[in-house]
Amino acid sequence: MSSEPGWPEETMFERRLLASARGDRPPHDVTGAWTRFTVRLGLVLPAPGADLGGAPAHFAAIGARASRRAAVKWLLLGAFGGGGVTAGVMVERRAPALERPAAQPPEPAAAQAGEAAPPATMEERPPSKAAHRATAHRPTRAGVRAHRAVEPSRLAAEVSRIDIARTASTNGDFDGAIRLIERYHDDFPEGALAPDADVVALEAAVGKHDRGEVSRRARSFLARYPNDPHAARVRWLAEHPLGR
Amino acid sequence: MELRALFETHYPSIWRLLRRLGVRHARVDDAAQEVFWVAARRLSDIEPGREHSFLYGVALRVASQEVRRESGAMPLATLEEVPLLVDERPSAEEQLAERQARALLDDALDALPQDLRAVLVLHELEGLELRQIAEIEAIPVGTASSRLRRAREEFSLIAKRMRARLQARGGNG
Repeated sequence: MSSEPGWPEETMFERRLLASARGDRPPHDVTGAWTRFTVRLGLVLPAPGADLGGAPAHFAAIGARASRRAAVKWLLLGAFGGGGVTAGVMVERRAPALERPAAQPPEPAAAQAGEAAPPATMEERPPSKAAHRATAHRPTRAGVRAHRAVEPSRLAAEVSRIDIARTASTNGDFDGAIRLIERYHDDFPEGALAPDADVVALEAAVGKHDRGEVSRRARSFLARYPNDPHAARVRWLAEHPLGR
Repeated sequence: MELRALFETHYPSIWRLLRRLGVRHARVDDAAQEVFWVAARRLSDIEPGREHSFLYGVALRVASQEVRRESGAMPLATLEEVPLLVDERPSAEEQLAERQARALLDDALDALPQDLRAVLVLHELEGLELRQIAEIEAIPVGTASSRLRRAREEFSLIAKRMRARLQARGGNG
């Protein structure tokens, strides 16, 4: 085990710089951040005139567009996601107080937020060409629905692309799923959800009963993400390439 | 741990980590929310007691993307552009108000390569042991140790230059 290296010559000045970071805190309280988070998930609408604690206005715009129907789509997305966590379920269950009554129509809030919305941000850009390529290969209506339900932010685009691939795999289109994951990697070379994407491709390989590909993908995954939460499942799949 | 509890427990530290990893102040909240979005989708995969490691790992990836994207959009500050603080107090150390010190810290961190920056931040600011950093970064402990040594060397050099410039500007020896 390597011992910890020392400072070459730590000075008071360096210590002062480093110590300054300890007092740094988010500008808004955690409750406000949580509210913005649930708004961003599209499950909670901001109350009219709600102070989102300085949240970027596009959160408000996103939230205002998110009707309960969008929430249901998120839940469907989670359901299609199989082993994936349905964040919406958690949020919906945990944060009822943050929700507006179901009977309250979303349109006034949408209009209100729309007035305050800034010019298109990253979260509101039209889907990229890559996203269009992915939708051109959309395998199911569910995939289409999922793609449209999520705002085309970079992470949302990643989520959407992986969910479309997962849906293809669930529907038996294993080669299509693997192709979609390869395209995902082309378009998001440093994707935040790269391990999740690789697991979808691995499971598609299992679905194909392709022992060689399962083994190759599992080895590659474990080499890159040995401590990933999926690693235990991937090891199991490597030992049981037919999934049983 | 349920999502809300996870969020409320770890949001401040993830926010701070992202900031020190080079995410612009105006983007830190968005980036922190991306981290928790990933966590939300993988909540059942997170082993109890390892929530912090998981979130740190995601935060490193999110910060790396943010910094790469930002570096394409605007040039990073170079050491020559480090703001000079004009203050007539006697020493560089005493000149530094908390906020100014943080601004300098961020400038110094900006001058480090991202891999060295991450190890330095995780160890010096977040208090993680090398073993934990190695696990989060999926690198051998020896590599983490080597990165920490290089990060400290570079950070020391940068800090020395900053201090010299501050003192020169303040007319102090």
